[in-house]
Amino acid sequence: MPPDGEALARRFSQAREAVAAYAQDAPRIGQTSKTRIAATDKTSLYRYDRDTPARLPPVLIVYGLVGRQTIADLEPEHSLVRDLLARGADVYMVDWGYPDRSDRFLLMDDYVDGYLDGFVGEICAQLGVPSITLVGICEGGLLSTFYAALHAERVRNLILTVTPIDFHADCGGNEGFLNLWLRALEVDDIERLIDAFGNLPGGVMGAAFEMMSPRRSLTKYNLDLMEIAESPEELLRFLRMETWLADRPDHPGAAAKQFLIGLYKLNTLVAGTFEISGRAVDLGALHMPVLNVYARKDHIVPPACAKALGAHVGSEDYTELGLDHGHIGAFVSDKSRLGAEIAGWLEAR
Amino acid sequence: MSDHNPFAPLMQAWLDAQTKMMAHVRAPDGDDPWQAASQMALDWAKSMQGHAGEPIPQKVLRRMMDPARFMYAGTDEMSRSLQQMFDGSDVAQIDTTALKSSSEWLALQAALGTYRMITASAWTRAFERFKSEVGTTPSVWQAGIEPVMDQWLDIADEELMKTQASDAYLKAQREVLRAGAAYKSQEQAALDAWLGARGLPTRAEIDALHETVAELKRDIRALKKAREA
Repeated sequence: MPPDGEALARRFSQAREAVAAYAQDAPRIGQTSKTRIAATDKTSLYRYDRDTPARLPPVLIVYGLVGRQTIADLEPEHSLVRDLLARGADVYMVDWGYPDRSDRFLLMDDYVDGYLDGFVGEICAQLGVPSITLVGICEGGLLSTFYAALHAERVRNLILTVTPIDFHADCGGNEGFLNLWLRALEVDDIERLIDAFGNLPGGVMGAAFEMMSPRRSLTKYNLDLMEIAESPEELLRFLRMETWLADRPDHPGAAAKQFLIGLYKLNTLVAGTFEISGRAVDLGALHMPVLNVYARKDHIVPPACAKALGAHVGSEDYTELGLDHGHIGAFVSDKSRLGAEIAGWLEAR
Repeated sequence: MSDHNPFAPLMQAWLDAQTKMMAHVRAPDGDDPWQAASQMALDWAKSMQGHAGEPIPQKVLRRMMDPARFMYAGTDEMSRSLQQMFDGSDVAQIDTTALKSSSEWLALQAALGTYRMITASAWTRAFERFKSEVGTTPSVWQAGIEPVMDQWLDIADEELMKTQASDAYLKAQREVLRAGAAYKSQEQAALDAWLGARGLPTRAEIDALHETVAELKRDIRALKKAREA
């Protein structure tokens, strides 16, 4: 039975009061204890603190330049970081910081061969190991893929999560608005747009993501909020997610052109012509063990775009894993078994 | 419609408002269709409050059916973001009057108008379908207002998704981005002229410096690696 009018009115009032209270003291995300062990320009490398010796290979979580890495540590109950720590891994995380107009000429080359290479080297040096495991998320999965293909000696295992590889694999389907919208633009359109602003504004990417889930956007600030108003835990979780969604840095312009034109529009990665620092990224050079995790309900990275890696990867130890979540749910859903799957896969290697 | 149908007055309000909305969509030179649609949503929320017998807070109902809110989920969030983005640099003390009457500005406004009209049409189609489905099965109201809202959301979601994948939408979106970039570039050129005339560093000059720094950092990185090898 639907709640009566009085109950609904009470819920609405509760939701309003609770949100107003949090407005004074914004919910915090990414709070697992960590130590910054290296920094270059605006980027930082963190090591998560742990009380017991690690029993799994060290993992470096690499997020992309769209959004923030805090989704991997949204809250104590929904944290890939905590999950991996609890299962015995030494966990490191890259924080790309907040690029500004002075970073508009940074290329993916700089992130891969500069910042990421430096951080991987730092971890290897500190631990005295020749290589580590990379866990890439979305665009961070692409950066990890480029790095693994070009610096294979430094990558013991490659784990990709919700990472697009073949940007045209969705053609003919009803998924992947971002792919469709970008393909509808000419290369000149994208170049001029990014040039006009210097960087790709984070707010525009946020708006584009909102548009991909019309129903959710229509209800999230009213019916959905009322549904959870009587549960302080759920409300706090909702507000933490909102905090993450609102935290959207600008994407460096030159790297955005590589991402939107080279990959989304021209699909050069699977063609073998995408270059980092003048070297073509060869997916066939990925000979290390690879775990490729995709989300079956992903409306941002259609599953076909992620699963395409299997047809190109050079590794004989390639595992594909589909989770019954969306792009973000894979990391924050109550039912997500991402941490357990990664740990289990690592234990076997 | 039967007098026993509690939905009847609501339907009539919708029909009246819908007729107004359709007239606006067909005649884009008329009054603002968004204002008309918003009024329609307001009427709808009031009617719902009076006839459904289940008082969901009126503010919630208004937001659920508000075409502006619909656009937030759909194209208007993007159009507002773009408008704000392209229009957000009214730097103090710089007279932008000339810019706001330029052909680039007019082209941007025209492109945004077309873009919003496509979404307005999607709203209208969704509303027509909802009205038809709910109107022909008044029994849906017996289970309360929530199933009816679910039906509206399903229809709205489906119609928006279909619209956002349509050729007309893709073309309109492309035109907005093109016109926006052209206007923004023109605005930047005007600002740089203003700064240059006063002996201040221009955006172009600062960008050139940043580009040089980025290239130098790459060179240093390559040299370090060559030395380590």
